[in-house]
Amino acid sequence: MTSGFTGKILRVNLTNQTTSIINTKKYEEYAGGLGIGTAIFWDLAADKLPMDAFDPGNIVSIMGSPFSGTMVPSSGGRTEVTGIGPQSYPIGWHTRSNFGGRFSGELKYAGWDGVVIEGKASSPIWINIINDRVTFEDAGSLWGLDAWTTQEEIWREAIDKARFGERSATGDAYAAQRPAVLCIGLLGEVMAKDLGCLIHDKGNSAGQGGFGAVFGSKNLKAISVLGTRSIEIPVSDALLEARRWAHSMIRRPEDLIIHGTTTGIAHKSGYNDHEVQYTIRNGHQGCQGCHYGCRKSTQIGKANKSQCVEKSFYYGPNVIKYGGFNNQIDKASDVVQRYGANAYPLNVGLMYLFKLYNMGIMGKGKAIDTDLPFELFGDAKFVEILLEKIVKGEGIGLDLRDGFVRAAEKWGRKEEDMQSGLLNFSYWGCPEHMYDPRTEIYWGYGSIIGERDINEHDLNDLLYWNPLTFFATGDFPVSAEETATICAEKLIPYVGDPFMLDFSEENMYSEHIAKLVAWHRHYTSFWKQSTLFCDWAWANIINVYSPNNRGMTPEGEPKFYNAVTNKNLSFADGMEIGRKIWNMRNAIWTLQGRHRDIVYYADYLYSVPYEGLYPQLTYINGKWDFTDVSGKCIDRTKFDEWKTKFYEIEGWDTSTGWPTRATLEGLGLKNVADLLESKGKLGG
Amino acid sequence: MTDLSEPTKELAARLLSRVSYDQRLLVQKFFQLTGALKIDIYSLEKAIEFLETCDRRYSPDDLLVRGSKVSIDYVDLNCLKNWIGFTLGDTELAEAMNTELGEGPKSRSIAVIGKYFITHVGPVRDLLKQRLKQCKEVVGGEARTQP
Repeated sequence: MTSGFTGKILRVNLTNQTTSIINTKKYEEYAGGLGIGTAIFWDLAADKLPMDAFDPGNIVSIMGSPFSGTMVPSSGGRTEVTGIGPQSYPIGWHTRSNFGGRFSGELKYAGWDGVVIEGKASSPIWINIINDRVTFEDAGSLWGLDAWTTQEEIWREAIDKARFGERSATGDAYAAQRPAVLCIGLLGEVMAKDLGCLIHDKGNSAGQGGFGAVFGSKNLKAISVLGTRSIEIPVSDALLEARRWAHSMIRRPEDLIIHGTTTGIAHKSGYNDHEVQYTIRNGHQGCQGCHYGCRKSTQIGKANKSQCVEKSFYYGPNVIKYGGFNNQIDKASDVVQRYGANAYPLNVGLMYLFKLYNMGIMGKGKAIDTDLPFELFGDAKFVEILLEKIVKGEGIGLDLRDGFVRAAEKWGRKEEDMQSGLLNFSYWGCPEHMYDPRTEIYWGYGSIIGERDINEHDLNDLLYWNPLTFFATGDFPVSAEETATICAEKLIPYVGDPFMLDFSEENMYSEHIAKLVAWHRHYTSFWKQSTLFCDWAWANIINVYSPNNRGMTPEGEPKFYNAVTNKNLSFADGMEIGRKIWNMRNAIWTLQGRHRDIVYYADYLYSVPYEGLYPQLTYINGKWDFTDVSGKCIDRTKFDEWKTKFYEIEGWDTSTGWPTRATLEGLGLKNVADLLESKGKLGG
Repeated sequence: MTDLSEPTKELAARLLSRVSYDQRLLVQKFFQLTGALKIDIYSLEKAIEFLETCDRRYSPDDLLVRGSKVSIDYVDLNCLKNWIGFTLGDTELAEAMNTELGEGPKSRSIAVIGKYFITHVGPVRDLLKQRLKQCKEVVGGEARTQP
């Protein structure tokens, strides 16, 4: 292996249970993850679009990157999933999801840069990858098992019955570790569009998009991989030097000991540990190669190694019932992991159901008749009962298999509830992330111009959390003016424009903000979702533990990439590849039916002002400040005009939002332009 | 802190009861990664429980290094005053809050709003606690707050 790639991508046809090899070389420029996944989808399936997510022709890629299995900080264990997902509404867009753990590293050790899945098995199967040996195994006995039990069963089966820890013959080598398994729980099996997600190990999940439901539609219960090879780093000294460089900037010994390391604002370790309520037990676990160890264990032994939304989705109900947090949150966390449930739609959807109950619309004998025990709302049991109803298709559970928005449509409530904001699924039927499009505007723009909730926290930490800390400390870690100044220095290729960071109402429909959204889409398309730097760590724009508060971006990303690949890529080069990937994605959406006329938010965002407090960075009356920007809606007309500005920056057709030949050919995508033209979908 | 007069049995019962969906109070819990969670409050007692969490103080490291372990809890104190006065109908308590709160923040700057909130949330919470205690004494064992 050279340049960080094994050179092989495993292509699996489930219909006839055959495998073949895709040469990675053709796709190397995209690094991995989203880039390679999108390019392969284009080559294999774009001419067949539009197609449904559950069409056997849907191509799902599970990709690593050159970083996979290495010690590049906050990257070595990330895996990206791409394909058509059923979650979004009204069209299931080609989309992406990402999970941590060790799957892509194990793939690399087995000799593969990724796996591409197509077709549909005639009965439930799982795929067993041990180095070069790939077999299709009967999953009849696994179908109906939860995600954890499934993995335990596969661990027992995959390596010739060896007990855990024993060295086991794997064909050409020995292994003593468990295979890395990516599987679905019961919600994937019943093809729950919002909720069916992929689970790996105890607490890693690819939630958004509904890829668990896609696995279910393909009768694919799991993929197991075990590798016994090693990874050659072409410039290993450079990698070690890069780590030392990062380490000296970010590391504080006491953090390493107590909480894992951190890099300040854009980095964090540990999450949602409810320490106010009870103590956390040590036993941190990180994704492969990561220096954080951000996953903790709790005293009650629940929610161990769970993280982020799956650990926090039940905060609202828990606070409603108990006033503060208790261990029902952690118990609920384990429920979603076992069922293989995407926690974010559940997070927002549960509150929707509870509001309908409080309004007297949902409940026993009510207009939406259900025997859901709302007296248990706030307890883990409620979540379990609801998910069981969805799995069994009982009562409203059958409606909810299709997702909360589609269920509301069946109940005749969608129009009214999306108008009022009761059903706050903001963009493409995806739930509001609580970084509201009316206030944290680039987040909303990125989501609606794209295809899903972006769920990218790099800028968000600077603009939202940084000012909020004032309420607890009486000061800002980094001032408003310095935040704007540093960002303006670092947002290559749009350097020198601090007004890209002005989120005042006067500026929210400006070309400056369009540039910021373009920067964000291009950055994340390559540096985050293709090279697979972790969202919680990168971009590292501001860093209170580094000199002058300047974080590792834009030096850090290419420093690590070049060390692992022996290439000479600049940060700007990566941004350009990101733009290329972003254009390819827009071409796919175009073939799926995208047009600027359908690019609009849920109605409530145009008519109901944001209620509450919301801090953002603003430039008002000649002064940078962190300001409460709540109380506003999105202006429908101005947003439409903003789309034109954005399309102009991207070089897309402003009347349709479709890519143009000039832009595509400028990016080396003539073949994409040709296909769009043949389908009558090329922008003029 | 203002000494409140003893509430009537009727007022006490009302303050201990649960308001309807349309009369709920909005509060916010801000998290580093999951965003600004909005929570509906349906009773005085739940409002006080929430206020108890509002004046927690953290070091910068708590928030930046371990920030995601904590939430910043916030309610607009003047909205709370109006909810007490107009929705729950306790004009005396609302007036006492008004005296405590003085003029609201005159700017939308987070620094101004934050200082105002930090300064006033404790005294306001103590006023509400005084009232809740009175209500429970007046009603005795007859009523319990519903969540």
